[in-house]
Amino acid sequence: MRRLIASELLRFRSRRLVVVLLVGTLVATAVGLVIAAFQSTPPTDAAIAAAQARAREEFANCLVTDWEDVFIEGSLEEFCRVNFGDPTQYMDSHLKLADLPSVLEGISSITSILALVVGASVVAVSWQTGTISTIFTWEPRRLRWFAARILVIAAGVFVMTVLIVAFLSAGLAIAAMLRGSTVGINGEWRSDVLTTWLRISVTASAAALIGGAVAAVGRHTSAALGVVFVWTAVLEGLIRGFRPLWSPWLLGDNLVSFLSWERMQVQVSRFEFYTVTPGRASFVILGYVALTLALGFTFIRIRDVQ
Amino acid sequence: MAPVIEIEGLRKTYRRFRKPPTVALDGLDLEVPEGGVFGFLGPNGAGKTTTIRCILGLVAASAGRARLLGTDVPGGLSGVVQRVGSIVEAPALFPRFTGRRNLEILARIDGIDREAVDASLDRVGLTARGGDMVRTYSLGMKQRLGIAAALLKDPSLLILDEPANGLDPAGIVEVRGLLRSLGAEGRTVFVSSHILSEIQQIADRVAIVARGRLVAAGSVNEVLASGRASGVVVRVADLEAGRVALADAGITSRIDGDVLRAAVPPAEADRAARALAERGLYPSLLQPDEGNLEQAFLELTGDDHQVGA
Repeated sequence: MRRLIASELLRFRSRRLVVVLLVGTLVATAVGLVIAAFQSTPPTDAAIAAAQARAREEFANCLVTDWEDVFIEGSLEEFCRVNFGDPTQYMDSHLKLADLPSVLEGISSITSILALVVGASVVAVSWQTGTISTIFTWEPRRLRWFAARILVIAAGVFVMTVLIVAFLSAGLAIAAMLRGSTVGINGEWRSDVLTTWLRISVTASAAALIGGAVAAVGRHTSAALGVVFVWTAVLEGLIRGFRPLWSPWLLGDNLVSFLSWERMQVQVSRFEFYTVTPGRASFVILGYVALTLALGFTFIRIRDVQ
Repeated sequence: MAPVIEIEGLRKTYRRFRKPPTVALDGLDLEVPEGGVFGFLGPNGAGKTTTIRCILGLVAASAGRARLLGTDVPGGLSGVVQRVGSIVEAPALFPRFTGRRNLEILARIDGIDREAVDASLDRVGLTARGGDMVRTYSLGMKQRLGIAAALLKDPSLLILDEPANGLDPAGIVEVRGLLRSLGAEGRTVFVSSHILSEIQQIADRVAIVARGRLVAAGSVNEVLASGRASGVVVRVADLEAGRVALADAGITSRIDGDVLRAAVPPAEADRAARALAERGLYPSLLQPDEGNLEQAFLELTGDDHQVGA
């Protein structure tokens, strides 16, 4: 298995698509950061001090306010800190390093789509070029081979996403220090960044696995991408409309909950809502990955290679 | 010597949507002895490639049994595949990788070192182009790279499907020499081809398949003998008059180009000579009709050679 993984790893990193996508994303990120930095006007020390003072004041007011008519999830202190205690919201718009977790959540859809393309392409290319017959004459244990390839895809995409996020984080930190502010950076922020980073990378790996598994069935990159697009963009929309009770099981809703790591209210009937928790969402996503992989493995095992 | 490939009653049927199923192999029996070059012949659609795919585990047989190097396949394939090098149809390699990178990826599966990759490239004369992308290779170079990939494992059995496909005359001569030398090294080289003259020049033994069944097998000479009526070739000035003279003497013959092919055993060639001389027709050529593999092939496979792939 170790040799198979080494072979698949060499094949993965030799793929031009992988290199082009990685370099392209890094270049696009760099260009975006430069533009954002030039458009940002850094706040003065006085403005920062005033914003911090106001945040303290608003936070204190919040704690003594009567919130009887408002549903507060969690503690009042947490509610007040999130909604009133952040000094950056009392400053003029500028590049804030404190926004990094939101920025990361924002790029997760892009990294997931890129991962889907990579996963589907790395599996489908063997069918499209006919190299699958060459591979199977070297490793006839098909499931073993597919496991190695899937493992390499998951790990490779994870590393790619980590690199992209690291580059974006470092770039945003430099841009914020030069042309914005680093107000609000504390231990909690760091932990938020790290967990968001991890979730984005895991989601990208899951997307790549789904793409690879569907490609194993469809044997073509565009077929795999088409199927995933039709499922997420068309069928899930129809299910939400016509079978709302099934909504808590849809991939899209669970991905949103998982990526933001927040509870999400999903409407299941005219007057009823279902709360999707991040933990539950993780298992549902895992289920989708497992199901598509099971299909992929089955097709790889039984299909004749012409 | 134990056979390196044994096939018994191999059957492969392809189901097709709203169409009758296609029988690609219809109870094929075949034994390939160890060592030398074995030619596997048949018209397009006869089942040659399907046979190779079945024994390499690429397609599942509908019925029958196949053994490779003494092991039942596809079940035990993983135990013997390290000793089998193969090309199925055209060599399938990544066009956007270099030739060397393609071989390195395969080599890693079996833990084969870089020196073996270099040696393999060198053996097929691709050392200088090893760093170029495969998509820039000519068809012949791709074919040679495929052979290099098959040789990487230093296999005791080579299974090559139409290795001369797309090669120019120089390439064909080169591959012919390579296959001969591989066979002479003690390896078994199983070559499927429709280029009969090629097989006749390099193979020690041949098998001919038609409609998914074996129609002849043995040494080239045995198959030649089984495929044609023994006879003699005669050349006279007036072929039609010669044909009539032979017919009057009870010898069937037919005009084939500038000669007559007479259905009389070579040992009785004097009968034909006398019949012709009695009519004043003196043969300028009288020799045993040795035929060739192509002729035997056509006779053995009947009209199958017209079937498309």
